[in-house]
Amino acid sequence: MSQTIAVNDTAFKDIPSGKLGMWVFLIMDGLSFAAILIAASYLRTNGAPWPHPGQVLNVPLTAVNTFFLMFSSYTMMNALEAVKAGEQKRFITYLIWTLALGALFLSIQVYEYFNFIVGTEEIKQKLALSGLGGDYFRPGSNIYAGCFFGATGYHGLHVFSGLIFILYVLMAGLKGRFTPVNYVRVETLTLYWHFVDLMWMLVFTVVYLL
Amino acid sequence: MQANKIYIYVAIWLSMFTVLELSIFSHLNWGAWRTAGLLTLMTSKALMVALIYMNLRQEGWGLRLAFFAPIPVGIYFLLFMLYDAAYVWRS
Repeated sequence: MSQTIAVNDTAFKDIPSGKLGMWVFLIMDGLSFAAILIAASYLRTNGAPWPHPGQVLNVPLTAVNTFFLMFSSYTMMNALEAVKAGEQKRFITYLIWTLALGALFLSIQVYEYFNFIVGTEEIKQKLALSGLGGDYFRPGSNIYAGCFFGATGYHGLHVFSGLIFILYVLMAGLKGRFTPVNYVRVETLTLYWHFVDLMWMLVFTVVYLL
Repeated sequence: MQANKIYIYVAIWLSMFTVLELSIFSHLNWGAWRTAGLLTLMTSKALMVALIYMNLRQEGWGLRLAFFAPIPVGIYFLLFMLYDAAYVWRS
């Protein structure tokens, strides 16, 4: 009986306050993403001009980008395991890999945005074929563009924040501030980065594939 | 099983599901089935990341409840709004 009471008392399993704070933030942030994606779905079903994603968006390039972000989750997980095992060098190496993959993801997204906003000849042709028309694909061009830039831009800001967070943890890691008994900050960073990956899975499917 | 092995398996599964998503996107034109397939794969990938990478399966039930409780509300909200919409899913 006493064991049952103990389980009931540990609904959060003595989670460190920093980690719990990150979880609460992520749950609320997830609701923000949900609001954006639900709004886009509502506008789509309500008859807004909505071409097939492949007609306008660069799906193959974004698919490659998706693999980069997914792989960065794996390297981040290895960084956490390394710090838990006290392997400082391995921890730093995997963190640098994560930073590089995240930066690559963001660079490709910026490249895609640049092409849309400047309006290359290919984009003009795609817009004409899709029925949207116009020379550019900018946030204010139409509802579809607004939803695209809203969802991917909000996610991009999260990736950018994540890169700053990784850089901060990397600097602290280089000074040897994390040990097998003191790694809560690395764990909160890991949670955040996986959340960014998780949200991209939703954004990629809803915005690029459906 | 060693943690590192599990993580590499998850990475492989996530990649395979993404390839499957892209195949459905490029080759399948079965309307509702296509949408259902893509949504199923998306949910499976998201669950894998939440439960294994974010380690939610080993956290306390309070945290799991806090994480999963808003999801049915979100789905209800979406269906509630779609009920009022014009039912046009352009693709």
